Amino acid sequence: MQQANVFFSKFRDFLPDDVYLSYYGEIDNTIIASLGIELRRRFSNQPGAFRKLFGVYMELVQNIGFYAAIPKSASLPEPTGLVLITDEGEFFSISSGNFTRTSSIKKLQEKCDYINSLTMQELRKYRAEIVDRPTEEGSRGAGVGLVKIALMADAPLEVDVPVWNEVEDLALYCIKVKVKKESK
Amino acid sequence: MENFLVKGGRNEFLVPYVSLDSSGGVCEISGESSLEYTGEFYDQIVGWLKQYSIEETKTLTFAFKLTYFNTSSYKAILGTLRELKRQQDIGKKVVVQWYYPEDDSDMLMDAQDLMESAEIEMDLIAYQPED
Repeated sequence: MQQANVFFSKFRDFLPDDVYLSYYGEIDNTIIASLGIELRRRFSNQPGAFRKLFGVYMELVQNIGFYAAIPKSASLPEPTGLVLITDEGEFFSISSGNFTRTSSIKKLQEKCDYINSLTMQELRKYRAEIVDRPTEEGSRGAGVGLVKIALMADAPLEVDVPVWNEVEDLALYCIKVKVKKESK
Repeated sequence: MENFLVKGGRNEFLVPYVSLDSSGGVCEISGESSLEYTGEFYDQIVGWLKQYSIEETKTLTFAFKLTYFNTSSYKAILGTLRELKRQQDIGKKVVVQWYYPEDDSDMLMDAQDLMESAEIEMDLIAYQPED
């Protein structure tokens, strides 16, 4: 449990207090579906915001399922991740967290920096380019999840990938996405 | 030629409703798409379309009425549209309609991008979503 407490506290420090929905634990298909139902219920009177939050949520949790690493020293189910939806003034923010390999840090940060540097039109063009590329080795999705998230987001993606345990080759990957409350 | 029907639903995965009707040449995919085996699911649709183009001469009308699809489905939908474009290019009569909620600018953008990538004309039709 000590490992889990450290993991959670690191993410909690990164996030604000007004939480609409939070989950930490195994991310399997049943959990993904159950949290999706909860999202529909909680945001049923805000269809525009719901569509964006749901679209971002699905990409984030599917990525956890595809790519999360697990510490050997912790008795955590695989894959384990964290999802939070919070209130940030004019925005809803949705965040996810999971362990990843330290070898992924540079690639993740560079990819997010590149995506954040693009305009909406450039993002659309970039998606069209990469959707036709062969799937990258080790990739289990379509490879365009982050681009789709950026297209739905109303602010730059916020990404943090600190080293968590060098011996175990583990880093924490946390991404926060903001959508406007009055989204259409 | 046999029709193809998937009733769809929300369980562990989001399975779209699919109806491919050879007698009328009317096809529809609607609902939400986030599947366990995305490629295999859409390969069945593409396979049916290829067979239709061999066996039938009637105009084919394909209506997309999806309200959500993940990025794996996006890629598979693009493959489906490219098959429809291929059929147009060999002289088959194919009409593609894309319905989107009138207040969903992201869905409209996705439709426009798919249309451009597949190099196919689609009728983009806005509708008022039910409450």
